[in-house]
Formats: sequence, structure tokens, C-alpha cells
Amino acid sequence: MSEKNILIPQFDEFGHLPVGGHECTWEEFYERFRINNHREELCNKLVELVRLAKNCGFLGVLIGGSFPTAKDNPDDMDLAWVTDFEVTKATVKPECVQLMEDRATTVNYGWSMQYLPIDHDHERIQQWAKAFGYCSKTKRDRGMLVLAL
Amino acid sequence: MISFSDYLEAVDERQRLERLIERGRKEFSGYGLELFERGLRAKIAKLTPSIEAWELQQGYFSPVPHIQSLECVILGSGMVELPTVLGFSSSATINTGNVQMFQGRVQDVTLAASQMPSGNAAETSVLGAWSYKPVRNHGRVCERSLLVG
Repeated sequence: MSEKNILIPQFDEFGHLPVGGHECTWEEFYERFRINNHREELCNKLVELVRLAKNCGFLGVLIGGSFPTAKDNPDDMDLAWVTDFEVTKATVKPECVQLMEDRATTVNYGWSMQYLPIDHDHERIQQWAKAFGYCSKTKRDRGMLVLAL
Repeated sequence: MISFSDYLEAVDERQRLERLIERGRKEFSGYGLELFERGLRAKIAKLTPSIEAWELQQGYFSPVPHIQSLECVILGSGMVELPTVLGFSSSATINTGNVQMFQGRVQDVTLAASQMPSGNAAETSVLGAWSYKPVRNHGRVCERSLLVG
């Protein structure tokens, strides 16, 4: 294992990341999870959304759902976009958010999008990653990845 | 039409998302809260059609016996009449006047009304409701309907 991979923990016995938010770089993210054609397609979609998110003024993203798991063909990504604490309609325009959501719900994609005005507060990132990482289908908590934009 | 287990799963998930909204209301404010709720409301909106379709299809059902309470919260603009309760011993009909009715075996009934930011709200909580019959009334439905085990 390369030294880089140490930052993203190994899966647990259920194929999930440990509960909480795991910070990583985009290079580490792609190296670990862009491992087949299906996942590459999802990543391409993510790249498009990230570009829009940067333009909107978002600071980071928490990635959950079945994508950051051991599943070969995950259904989707759950995305929680992070803003600064005092976000306003001037810093993150509503029409920009709407555009992101429209792009996230195009044909073949039904990605869930959340928003967290928690800036880079590590403790709150961990708390909300735990809350958003819960899977109602499996009734299990799953870890999320935390990436800066 | 979703199965009964899927229905309960959807109801549980909606309840979990509503708890997250409540948590967010304590932590965030202003546009940040607006964004936070936006994402979660969208998730709830995805769950609601299948839940309502199941309830309308069934008309009447006896939920699992461990259900201890049933709660209906109605939000909306304009006045909502205070709920009236008919019968307390072995069955009860709760009529919120313009929204929804329930029937069930009731051990205790509590009624409350409170002013909400989006308008007036009436909250009805029925403890020990072992079965119930949701009936649409004047096209309005519960903004959230909770089954608590």
C-alpha cells in the first residue's frame, strides 16, 4: 500500500468506511474509488458538479452513499456541500444552487444533495458526516469522504 | 406499490430526516439554515409519494403492535382549527377540522397547537394507537406523520 492510501481507512466487515468524515485529496479519492468504468462515469458526473459548486462558492464536499464503499457498481453519490458559517445569497446564489440540483437530477442521475454551513469546523464536519452517513436500507452507519473544493 | 416493510422503512427514514431538520434549526440560521433544510426537504419529498400512495391504497391497516404513538403535524398558511377528539375508551376519531382524520384504539390523547414560522400549526399526538385510518380531507395531508415504536 502506498503511503497516500493510509489517509483513507480500509473498509470494515460490511464494506463501509469507518463512521465519520475522512479527509482526503482528489488524487487519493480517484485512486481509491475510480476503479472501473461505472465508477469512472459517476466520477465524471461529480467533476461536472464540482465545477458548478466552485462557481457557486461552496468550500468543500462530503461524499457518501454507496460510492465510497466496497460495492463494485454503486448506485449514486450522496453529496453534502459545505459553505462558510455566514453564507448569504450573495456568496452562494440560489440560482446557482438550483442549477447544480438540476444537473444532479438529470436522466440516469438522482443524486442527493445536502448543504452544510459549517465551514472547516472539524468537529462539526465529523458530527454531520456521522448523521448523513447513516444508511436507512442497511440500518448501518457509514463513513463519508471530506474533500476541499 | 411499495411493500409494507418498504413503507415502514420509508416512514422511518422520513422521521430521521425530520429529526435532522430539527437539529439543524438549533445549529444554523438565516440562509445557511434555508440551504440546509432545502436538501433535506428534497429527500423527504422523494419519500412522500410512495408513503402516501401506500396509505391511500391500504385505507386501513393494523401496524405492527409495538407502535406506541402516532403523531400528525400540519403546517400551512391560514388558520388550522384545533383538533377535536371524539371518544376515548376503545376507539377515537381525531378530526383536525380541515386536514386529516385518524381512528384507533387510544390510551391517551394529547393535543397542542403552536405558532410556526410558516403559519399556524396544529399537532396531534395519540399514544397507544394500535391501528388507524388516514383519510384525506379537503386535499390537505400531514406535513409529517410519525409512527413511534
